[in-house]
Amino acid sequence: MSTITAADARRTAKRLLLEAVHPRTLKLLLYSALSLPLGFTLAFVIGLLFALTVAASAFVVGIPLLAAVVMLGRSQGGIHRTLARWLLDVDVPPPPPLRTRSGTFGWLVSGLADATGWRGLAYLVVKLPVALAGFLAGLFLYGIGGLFASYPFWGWAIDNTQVDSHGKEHDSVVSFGDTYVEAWYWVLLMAVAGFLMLVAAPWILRGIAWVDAWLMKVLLGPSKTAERVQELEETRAIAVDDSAARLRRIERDLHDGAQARIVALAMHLSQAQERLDPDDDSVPVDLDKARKHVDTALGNARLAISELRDLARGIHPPALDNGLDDALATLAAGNPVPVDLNVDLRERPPAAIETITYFCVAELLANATRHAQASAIHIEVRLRGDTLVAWVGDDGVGGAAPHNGSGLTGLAERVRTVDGTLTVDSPRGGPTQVTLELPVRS
Amino acid sequence: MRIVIAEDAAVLRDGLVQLLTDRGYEVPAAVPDADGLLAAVDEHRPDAVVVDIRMPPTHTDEGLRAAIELRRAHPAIGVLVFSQYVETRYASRLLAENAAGVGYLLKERVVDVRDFVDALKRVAAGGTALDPEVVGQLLAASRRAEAGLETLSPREREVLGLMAEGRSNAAIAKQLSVSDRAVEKHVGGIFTKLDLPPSDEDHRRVMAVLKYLRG
Repeated sequence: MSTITAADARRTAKRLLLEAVHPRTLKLLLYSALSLPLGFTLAFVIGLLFALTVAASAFVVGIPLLAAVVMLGRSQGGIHRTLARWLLDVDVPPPPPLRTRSGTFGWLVSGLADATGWRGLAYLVVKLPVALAGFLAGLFLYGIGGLFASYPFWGWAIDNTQVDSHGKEHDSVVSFGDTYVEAWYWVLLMAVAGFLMLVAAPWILRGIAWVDAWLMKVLLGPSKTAERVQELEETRAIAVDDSAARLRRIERDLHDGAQARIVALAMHLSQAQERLDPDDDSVPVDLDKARKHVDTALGNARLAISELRDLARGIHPPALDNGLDDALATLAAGNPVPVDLNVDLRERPPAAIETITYFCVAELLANATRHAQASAIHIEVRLRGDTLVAWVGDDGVGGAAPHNGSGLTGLAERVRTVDGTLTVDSPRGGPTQVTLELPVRS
Repeated sequence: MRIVIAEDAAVLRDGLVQLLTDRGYEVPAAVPDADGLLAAVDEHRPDAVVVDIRMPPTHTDEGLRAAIELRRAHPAIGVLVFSQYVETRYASRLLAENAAGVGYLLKERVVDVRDFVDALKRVAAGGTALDPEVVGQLLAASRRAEAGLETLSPREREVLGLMAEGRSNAAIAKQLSVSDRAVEKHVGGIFTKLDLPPSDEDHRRVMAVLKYLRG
């Protein structure tokens, strides 16, 4: 524990005092000042339109107008979000754009059924008391607080003689009942009270703004469903890209590897055949050359076999058919840096989770082996409730960071496609621990 | 004959060099990318080049673009494009201006060493050497827009297809099990029906092939 020094106390006091005139507080004050007239005007105009269209809905013509008002409720949210971003530094994400259904009444139905629009209208209503509170708090705390705090400096200058109920004269601007702020201790007390109001002002305004920001998040931001849909759309795009990229990589590996080797193999066999065939007049028979061609062909065949095996294993490791435990044991056994493996799964996770866990752990293991200069790596896989948790750690140099384009970012994205997370803890100098969490749903 | 090779897979590049030098051809340069090819051609002025279509950095059509550039800059150099797959679009682009001194072969054709070397010689001499697969696909692609070709008899089409592959009359006769005379008659018929102006035989063959492939 550190002790609080006099310097600390001074610094804190200064900060508290200066908070009232700090730019962020002044922005807050401006927000409170603008919020009420803006909120009131919008609520008045849109509220009036709403009332009129609801009334007019008795006739058919009112219904499309009502849809238009709901859409207005949606679009006016942008004003509040922009104001909040400028003055409160609160960034409320905009809701997804309205998707109008096709057909003659598509526009009408989507307008009327637009939850975002109705939420925008609701915001206008609940905003009013909040805006009023903010406006009054700003006015009162800064206005009265400022006057009180500065009273010792201007109070004496004003000659304002008042007579109390006992007929006694007082020279004071302010009085509370029969108590006149005249004596020095009263003046001091008033100044202290004003001062406290000014110190408290930023916090109170901030509290009110916090309520407003919360309302905005709930009513003007994307709904939980919309957020989820967006998340799913993003991760689906990643999954599609990822699998397309993987197919491309497999094709490339085949094209540059096994396919080229087999062509070369056939090329050499064909030349060997020529060298062995006495009827072939293009080249003379030459057993030595024929043998060399066969040797080269054989070498290419061996390489093609191992490349194909590696490729096949990269697509789906056969050991994974027996579960993560076996597959990871195989992986760990072949690793050049010793691995302490600990897999404890009471039941088998779904195949997709097993596969993604396997490939993530394999890549993390490869990273640790290649880049960390580690002397020991530990892997632990366990089920915690409905979550599969895998830790991959090493005693290496650390400094692994998921920056753009790094393997770790790719892994994190792949993991996100199944609603999982990847956390990297790798301070410079080590050790590194990567935690993989994947929900296991049946 | 001097041949420059551009192929990014080392195993095939080395194999081709060995195959060609073994048969007494000179290979002054074998490079792994398109830039290297253009530089090597400027330096060595070969009679022909063998170009892989897919090469670094993007592994898409670098080789093809280099081949087209080479044909514009050095029309006398035969270009044999060498690919793992048949891409109709690529073949059309390669043949778009002129089919003389162009070849497009699947890599696996190298297994028939003699055919491969023959194709290379043909291309170096200003002839054509198209893989039967390429011809087949181009034909399928151009079927829809046939112009002037419908007048050809089925036999004449067959002969024209083999001409597109770059076969000589004798080779065509052998393939179709007919006499050389019969092939000559078909070839004459093709020239007439496609309305090709009289010029030297080789040039007319190339023109006929081009017309055939463009449909």
